[in-house]
Amino acid sequence: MVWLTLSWPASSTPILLRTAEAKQPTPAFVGAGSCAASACHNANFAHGDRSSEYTHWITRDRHAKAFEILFDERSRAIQKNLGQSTPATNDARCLKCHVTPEWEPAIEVKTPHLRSDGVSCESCHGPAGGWLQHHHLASWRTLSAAEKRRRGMRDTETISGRAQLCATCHVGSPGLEVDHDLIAAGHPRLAFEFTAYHASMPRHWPDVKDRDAGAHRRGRADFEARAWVIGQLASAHAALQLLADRAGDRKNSWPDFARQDCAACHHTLRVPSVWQPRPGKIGDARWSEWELALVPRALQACGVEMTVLNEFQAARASGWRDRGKAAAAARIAADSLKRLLDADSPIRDNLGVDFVRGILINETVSTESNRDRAIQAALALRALERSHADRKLPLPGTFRQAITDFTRSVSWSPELDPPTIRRRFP
Amino acid sequence: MNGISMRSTIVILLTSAAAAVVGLGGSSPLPSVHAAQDKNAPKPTKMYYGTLACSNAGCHDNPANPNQKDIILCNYDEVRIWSTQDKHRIANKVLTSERGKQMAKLLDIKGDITKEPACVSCHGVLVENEKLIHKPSFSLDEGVSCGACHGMNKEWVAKHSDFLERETWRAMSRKVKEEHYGMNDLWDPEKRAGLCVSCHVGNAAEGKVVTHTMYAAGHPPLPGVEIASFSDAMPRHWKYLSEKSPKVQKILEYDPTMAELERTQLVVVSALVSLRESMNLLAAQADVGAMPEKGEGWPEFAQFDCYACHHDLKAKSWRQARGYAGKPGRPDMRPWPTVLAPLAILHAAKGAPDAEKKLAKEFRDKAKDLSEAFTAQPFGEPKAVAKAARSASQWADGLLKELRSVRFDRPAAQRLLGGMGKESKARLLDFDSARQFGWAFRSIQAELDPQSLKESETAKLLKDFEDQLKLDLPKGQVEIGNDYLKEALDRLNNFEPELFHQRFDQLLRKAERKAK
Repeated sequence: MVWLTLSWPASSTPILLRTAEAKQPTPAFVGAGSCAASACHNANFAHGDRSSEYTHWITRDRHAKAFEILFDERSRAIQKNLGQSTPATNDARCLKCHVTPEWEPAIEVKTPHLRSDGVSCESCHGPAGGWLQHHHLASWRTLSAAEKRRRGMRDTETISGRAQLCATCHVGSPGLEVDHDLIAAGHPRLAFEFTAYHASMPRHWPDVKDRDAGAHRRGRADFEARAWVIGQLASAHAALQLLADRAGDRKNSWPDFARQDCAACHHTLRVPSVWQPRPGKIGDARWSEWELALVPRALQACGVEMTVLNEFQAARASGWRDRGKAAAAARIAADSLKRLLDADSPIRDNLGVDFVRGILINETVSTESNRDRAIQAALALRALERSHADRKLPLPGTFRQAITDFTRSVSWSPELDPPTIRRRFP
Repeated sequence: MNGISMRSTIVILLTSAAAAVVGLGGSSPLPSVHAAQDKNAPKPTKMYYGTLACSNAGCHDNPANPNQKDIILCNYDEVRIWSTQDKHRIANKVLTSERGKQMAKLLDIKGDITKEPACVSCHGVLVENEKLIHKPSFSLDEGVSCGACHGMNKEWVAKHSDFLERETWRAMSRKVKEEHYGMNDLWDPEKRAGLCVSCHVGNAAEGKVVTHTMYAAGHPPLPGVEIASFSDAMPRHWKYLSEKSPKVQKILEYDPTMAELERTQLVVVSALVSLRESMNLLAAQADVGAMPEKGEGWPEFAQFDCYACHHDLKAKSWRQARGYAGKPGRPDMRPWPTVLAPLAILHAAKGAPDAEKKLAKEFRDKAKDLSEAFTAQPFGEPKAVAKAARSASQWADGLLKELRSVRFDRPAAQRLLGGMGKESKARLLDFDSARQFGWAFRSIQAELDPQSLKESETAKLLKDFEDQLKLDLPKGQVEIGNDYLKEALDRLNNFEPELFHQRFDQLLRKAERKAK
């Protein structure tokens, strides 16, 4: 396993999962056009076919429109609200997620169309200058994963590598951050859950590679369950990294509400209030539950020692008023999660019926007073349901009904609230 | 509106007459009397009276006593009105309601909540020395009772009720009555408003502070206040000076030939007093925040615009469409105390464009400093906030002094209505700010042209306003934290600024046409 650097050089452009040994100049981008020869990745074959990756991406994947959206009315409004005279289409802050994290004016000298491709091949697979000429040759296949990475091709094969790549933008990383200023200006809030996004993305690779051990060496029947666990860790890691970075550097404005629970403040005032009877410190902001709420369950699935869980809980319990303490706690927890992610296969066993039961019973908290947590629980249940189906181990009917009921209840169905579900649930 | 209801239940407490005067700005504009120099003149001494001290002996609870008409100058019915209709009467009782109990539990108040200083400082009379209680009359349960506003002092209570002394008493100026006998000069609109807002906005020095933790525990949100409207809703147990008999007017140093529009005056004065006192409170809290060892005190969320955060999130957001004065996503201060200040500017300038421009620029600069301090970082930079707030408070105080020599006559009131149109259009108003305009309009127009409020088109627009803003304050001695608060919050949550502006514009244009 390659050792991936954790620390982001503070002053430089954040680089996606740059390997320790790859401290060379950033390899050149060649642009998606270089992948799109019909003999290569632009064939007209079925979904997931080996030579039609570009075709599927360009015709179905929203990532291909990531740049285009910067022209729209919302993007213009965001820049106006932020007091930015630079259009979004030319603002590095936008282009780093809407094109590629390495975006800077210099990389477009040789590839002037890079930005108009949006989030294209190299945004995830890595700048291809160092491997374009080689990767289609038989000798490429003899290279180790580490060697491929050294040449600039990123790890999209392991779940851990893939989830961390997505999290770079979809949760954020230092320098690639949707903070509260940006959200208030009009940018949608980020709420990433790996399995849900993975399931809805039009995949340009064969599913069987992920899910079928017979079809591919990396295939796993419990792919969905593993993806859920690793996705949780990757999201939490990214969120804690962001928190540690934001709080730790006094040059940054603080607090960043984007790291806090939206609904703690953004709820209308009402009589009677669902908020007031709750225990705990009242009237204060708290960390967002979105990336953190279900991490203890994911850690439980990994069978990790208690220290990791304790470190994580300490970060979660730290207040925001003392930014130094918050940064330190977040940093420790993020580092531990990173070590787990680097191991890539931390799951103790196939997550079975008991695990699903645990989530149903313990995580279906009031959907109104903590909707983030409830939605995360619903997404976890859906992923675990898919995992059971993949393994041809269908869940009992009562479970499926309870999952359906609960999922419906987080969609604000008035007649289905968690207590009702718990009463129904055996 | 919850805030309103809260107000009505809040008790005004003066910890001492002197404390009340400090921070309420200058004294009466009228000449003071010689007793001020008299070395033998008394100093007020504290005594906590209950309402029995005021209602006995056929005094303030005796409206049927016609014999005293020429002897007593009041209405004889003050205690009766207060005790049967005024919410201040139940201010202490509400502390033991369901909501009060919930708050005590969430705030971890272990002792008797009806004596908890953080609550009683507004919800009744905070007794600082039990030895000074007037045992025959005092009862904490009476809430915000007579002395809380008029002054808890022995000298004036004794002197003004002694028939043998009445001529001496009447000959004294308001200033002497206040300074030497401890009877607060509530005839002065600036002082009266200052007393009201010491609870309805807050006063750190007097321990009258509603924190965000209290809100989160269930305290209804404090709304904006407009003292003319709020006084009428109490209801008033007094008359405006212009409504009193000539004899009383003379004693109270009021010149009827000036024909001052007292409600209009109160609207403008109380707007500035609210601004000054909210800035003082803000400065006091930001000061604490600027001391790192006491860092927990800031941000005090109660100082921020409630609805900057407390709103549902929508894909089509009017906030985002409107844009932001500072940086987006950084809560600004509560806007309502500032929105009527331009009316005071307009009035002080007496229609002179240069004077108006100068004052308007001063005000804009203060507002800009505040806004920059608030958005320099999320939750503001406390040192800069304190500095800007203090400066804004001084500015408001200075303008209040200027206003003392400007008459509130009919042309002035007409000018204020005109100014309201311009000011309300200057930006999208939030719910509390829109209510300030709504109340101010009603109070001024009720004095300028009371008939017009009943005309069908205006009445319809006002009804529409009521549906949007719930300007009618709750009547009677019921706790506002239940039905009224629920309705008010519904209005708040459904408030559409664009619709308000459209309707308010119609209302003002109608008033303008009528005036012409």
